[in-house]
Amino acid sequence: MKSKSVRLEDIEKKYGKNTVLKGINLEVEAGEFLVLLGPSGCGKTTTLRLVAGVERPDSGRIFIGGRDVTDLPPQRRNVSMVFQNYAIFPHMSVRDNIGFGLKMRGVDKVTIGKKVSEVSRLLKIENLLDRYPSQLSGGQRQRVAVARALATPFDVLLMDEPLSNLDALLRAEMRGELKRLHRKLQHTVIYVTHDQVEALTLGDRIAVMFDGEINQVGTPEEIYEYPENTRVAGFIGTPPMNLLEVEFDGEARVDGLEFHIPAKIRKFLETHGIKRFKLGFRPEYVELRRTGMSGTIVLRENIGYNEILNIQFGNHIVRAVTKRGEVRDNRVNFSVPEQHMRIFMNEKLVRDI
Amino acid sequence: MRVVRKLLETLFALILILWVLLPIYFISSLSLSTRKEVFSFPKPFIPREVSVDILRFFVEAHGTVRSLLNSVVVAFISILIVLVVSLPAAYALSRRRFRGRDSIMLFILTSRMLPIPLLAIPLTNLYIAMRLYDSLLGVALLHAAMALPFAIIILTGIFVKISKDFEEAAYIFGASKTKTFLKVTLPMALPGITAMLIFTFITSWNEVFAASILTVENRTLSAHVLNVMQASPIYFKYAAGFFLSLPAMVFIFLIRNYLFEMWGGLQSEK
Ligand SMILES: Nc1ncnc2c1ncn2[C@@H]1O[C@H](COP(=O)(O)OP(=O)(O)OP(=O)(O)O)[C@@H](O)[C@H]1O
Ligand SMILES: [Mg+2]
Repeated sequence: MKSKSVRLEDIEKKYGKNTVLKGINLEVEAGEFLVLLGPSGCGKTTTLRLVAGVERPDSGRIFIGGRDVTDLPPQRRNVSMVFQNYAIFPHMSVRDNIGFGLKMRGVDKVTIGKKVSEVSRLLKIENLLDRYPSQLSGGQRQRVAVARALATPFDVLLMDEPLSNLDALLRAEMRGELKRLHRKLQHTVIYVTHDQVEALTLGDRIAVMFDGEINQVGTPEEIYEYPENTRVAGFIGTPPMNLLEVEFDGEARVDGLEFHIPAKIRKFLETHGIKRFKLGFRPEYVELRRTGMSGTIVLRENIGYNEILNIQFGNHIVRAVTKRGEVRDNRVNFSVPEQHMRIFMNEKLVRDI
Repeated sequence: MRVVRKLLETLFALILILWVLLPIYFISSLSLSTRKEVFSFPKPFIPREVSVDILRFFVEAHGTVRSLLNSVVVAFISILIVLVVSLPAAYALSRRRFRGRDSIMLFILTSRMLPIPLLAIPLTNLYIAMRLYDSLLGVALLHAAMALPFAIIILTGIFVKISKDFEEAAYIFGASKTKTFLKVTLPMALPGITAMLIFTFITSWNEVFAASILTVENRTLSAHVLNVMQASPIYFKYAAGFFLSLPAMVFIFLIRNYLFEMWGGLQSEK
């Protein structure tokens, strides 16, 4: 198998005075599916463009398969890419678009034809092969862009929100296809998205990015359970983690109301003399029983099988996910299991309590 | 109020259309009628008799065929020169941000600031010295020089419109810079380039002043017509006018959609 690792070392990128990437360090193993996740404008596309070589970093080095490619042009990096805006050639038929990379490598027509029909079957665009891009819908164009990237041989596959324009059903299906394909072929993939479900289901690991900086790299479980800081915590999950400002004076208080914390955390706070911190816990882990803190449901958001309860607690809203219709009364008691509480000091996760 | 405005607009458009079309119509209709009719008064709006008699007279007149061929040769040489110069120039101007880029764009246009009559004598001297006087190449060179500024500016606009993303995609998929230009950029620019070349052709075909002063024997059609005009019957002039405007009319008709796109975005208003 010839998939290769990717390493970014201290990458900085400026556009004019605007520093878009502020020292990116990232290591993607050979055969790994890494998802770059972050809000709009955080620098995901820029990062991919640097790996592809269509953009040069202002400082830092890029390695593919251990080889320094920082100064190599895109043609010699052997990467393939799905562009966020597709960039499929408007003057070529879908067939020629998909076969373009192979043609440039001097592959013979028969082999190109085989490969084109293979990937177009995978992406369900076999019936579009003789059309031109202007005759396609946005979602179809996007799939052509993915097909073109998959058809071309590569060491590293870069995908910039390749499913963003598909309807929910097709997206889920394509997600499955990509996952299956990656299992089978084990190629190195850097996959950009701001769709969390995509990130959590596809990624071997996820790199969470804000404002040109990578905040955390980890498996989906790590990112979900142990977000490195409050920013990641507030970004990952739908709805994201509850974050409460807590004052500690022997008792933990949120807006003056007592919040039950386990002895272990209490001891930790006492030994370190901590007076204020942020308490995080996921809405999915909130337990609604007879015991615990009491609050009032001010809003119920229906999300199908489940609903999100917005519980007023002091000046904070605590969100809890339950089966729809399970909680009738608007006065509720809630508690958080010990193992699901996270403590953030200065916005950073305290790992060993 | 809206109705009045609409009415005025339509009226204005109508006047403009008549302004352009009426002379063309009269030239065409008269050159397609008989000699007798050309001299009749008042002239009928629709010719009573359609005939190629006048056109044949014009084509068979001394010097017409030769100057027609000259015109074609000159036009094609200037197209070639314009193509070779403007493609790289426009591509560089559209893709590279270098110091003085904007000044260069402006400077290109200033070459059209000098009226040709002002250049006539120095140019003639220069051409005689360079042995270009009375040669088709000489005329073509000047026509190319006249068309180049607009050609470069139009082409730059066309290249700017072609997103860099397509080229970058081509690079990533392994195409060299040359291949990318030939297989991706050029085909995408082709309609625009064609329009630009037609524009060049028309510029050269219709140009009369420079062609007249820089040649004696090897006249282009327009120069030839100008030269023999005074001594020719009136129907000759009609036929000449018809022949001179025909290529422009045909070509502009062919590229009209493209011209709208380049110059006015009329289509987006629909
Ligand atoms: N060519 C450019 N010139 C100037 N600024 C740019 C350029 N390209 C990107 N930027 C800026 O760099 C920042 C990062 O852009 P980038 O496209 O990498 O974001 P992104 O994470 O891909 O966002 P999105 O999710 O919206 O695609 C943005 O603030 C953007 O405005
Ligand atoms: Mg992007």
